[in-house]
Amino acid sequence: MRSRRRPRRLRPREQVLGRRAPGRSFLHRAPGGLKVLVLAIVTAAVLLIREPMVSLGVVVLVLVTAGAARVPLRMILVLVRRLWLLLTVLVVLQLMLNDLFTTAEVLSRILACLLAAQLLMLTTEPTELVGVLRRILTPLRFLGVRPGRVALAALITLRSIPYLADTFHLAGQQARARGLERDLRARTVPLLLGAVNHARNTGRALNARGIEEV
Amino acid sequence: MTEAAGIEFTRVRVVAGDRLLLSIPALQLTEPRITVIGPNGGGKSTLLQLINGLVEPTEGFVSVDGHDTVDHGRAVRQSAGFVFSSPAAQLVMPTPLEDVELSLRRTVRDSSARRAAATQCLTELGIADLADRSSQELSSGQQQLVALATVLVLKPRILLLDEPTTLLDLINARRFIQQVEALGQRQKITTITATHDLDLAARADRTLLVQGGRIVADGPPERVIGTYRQHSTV
Ligand SMILES: Nc1ncnc2c1ncn2[C@@H]1O[C@H](COP(=O)(O)OP(=O)(O)O)[C@@H](O)[C@H]1O
Ligand SMILES: [Mg+2]
Repeated sequence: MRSRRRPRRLRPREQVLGRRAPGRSFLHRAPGGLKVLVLAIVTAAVLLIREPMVSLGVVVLVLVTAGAARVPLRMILVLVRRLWLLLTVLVVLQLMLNDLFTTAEVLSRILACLLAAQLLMLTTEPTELVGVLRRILTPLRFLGVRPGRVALAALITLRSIPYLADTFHLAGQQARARGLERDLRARTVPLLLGAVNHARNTGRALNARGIEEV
Repeated sequence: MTEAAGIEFTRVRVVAGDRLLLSIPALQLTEPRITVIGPNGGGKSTLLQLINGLVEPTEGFVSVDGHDTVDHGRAVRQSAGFVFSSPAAQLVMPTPLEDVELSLRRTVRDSSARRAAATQCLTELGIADLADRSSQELSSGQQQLVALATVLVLKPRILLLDEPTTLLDLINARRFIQQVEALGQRQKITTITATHDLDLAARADRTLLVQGGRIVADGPPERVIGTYRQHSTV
C-alpha cells in the first residue's frame, strides 16, 4: 500500500448552509416568536447590566439549555472558532486601551450575545424566523412599511446563501484548476458576477410570477 | 511509483458526508478522445474533477502518468487543463489577453514573453481580434473559446471538458468542438469530454456511461450511446 497525505474531505453540500441542529426537543418546538422575544430580553439585559458575572451566567445558561435540548455543543462553539481572529484582535485592543476588567466585561458580553443568537438559529427554521420578522413589522404599517415585502426580501436573502456558497466553491475550484488558488481576483470575481446575475434572475422570475410579498 | 502513461483509477470511492457519490473499482484511460455521458447528477463532473485532483478520492487512488493526484495535485493540474461549462464565470480579468496572461503568471516571469505567448495562443484559436475587448461583453461562444485559451496556453497534455457546450448555441458549440479537435490532434492532447450532446459524444475513441455514481457502460461510442438511449426511454 502506498502512503500519502490524507485526501481532502469533500464537504457535503447541505452542510454549507444547513447548520440546523437535528432533533425535536422542546427548544425546537417552541414558537419562534417566543424564542426571539427571550433572545431580545437576554441580549438587552446583557448589554444594559454590563456585569461580567451576568454575562458569564448567560453563557452558562445558553450551554445548559443547549445540552437539555440535545444540541451538540460543538455546533454552538463552532461560532467562536470561526470568529477567533476577530475576538483575539478585540481582546488585544481592549487590553491595550483599557484594563483587564473591562476586557473581560466586553468579551463576556459579546460571547453571551453571540452564543444565545447561535442557539436560536440552530433550533429554528429560517422560514419561521421570517414569519416572526413579518409579525414584528406589522405594527409599523402605518409608517408605510410593507411587512410582506421586507419578509420576502429576507426570504430571498436566506435562499441565496446556498447559491452563493456553491458559486464561491465553484470559483475556488476554477481558480485551483488554473493554479491560481492564491489569486484573490480569480476567487472573487466569479462570485460577484454570479451574485449580480442571480439577483437579476431572481427579480425577473418574481416579476414574471407577479410576486411582491409573502 | 508506476510509470504508466495515462490515467488510472484504483478502488476509488468518493463520499460526501454519508453519501456515496462515485465508486470506480478499476479504470484505465489511454485513448486520445474519450467522452463521458449520463444523466444529471450521475457523477460526470466528479469523475472529471478526480482526474485533476480538484476532488480527491475518499478511498483509493487516481494517478495521471504515474503521479498521484493527492500527492502531486499541482503538477497534475498543470498537465491536465479543465474547462467548466459556465463561460462567463471562468473569466476573471477585464480582457481576454489579460486573462490568458494570468494563467502564465507563475510559469513565465518575463512580462513581454508572457504577452507574446498569450497573443500566440489567442491567434491559434482564431480569436486574436478579441484580445482587448471587454470579457464580460463577449458572446458565450467567444467567452468559452477564451476560457479554452486560458487553459491551452499552459500546454496541457490532457484536456478535461465538463459540458463545455451546454450553454452554447449550435454554431458556437460546433466551432468550439472543431477548435478542440484540431488542437487536440496537432498538439497530441488527450481530451475527456462530459456532455449531453450525443452527436458530440459519438466523436470519440471510447465512451463511458456514468449513472448513479457508477460506470454502467464502457466501450465504443455507438454501443454505449445505444445503451444510454435504452436506459432513458420513458
Ligand atoms: N459536495 C457535495 N456534497 C453532496 N453531494 C454532492 C457534492 N458534490 C456532488 N454531489 C452530488 O453527487 C452527485 C454527482 O454529481 P456530479 O458529479 O456533479 O454529477 P453530473 O456532473 O453527472 O451532473 C450528484 O447527485 C450531486 O448532487
Ligand atoms: Mg456536471
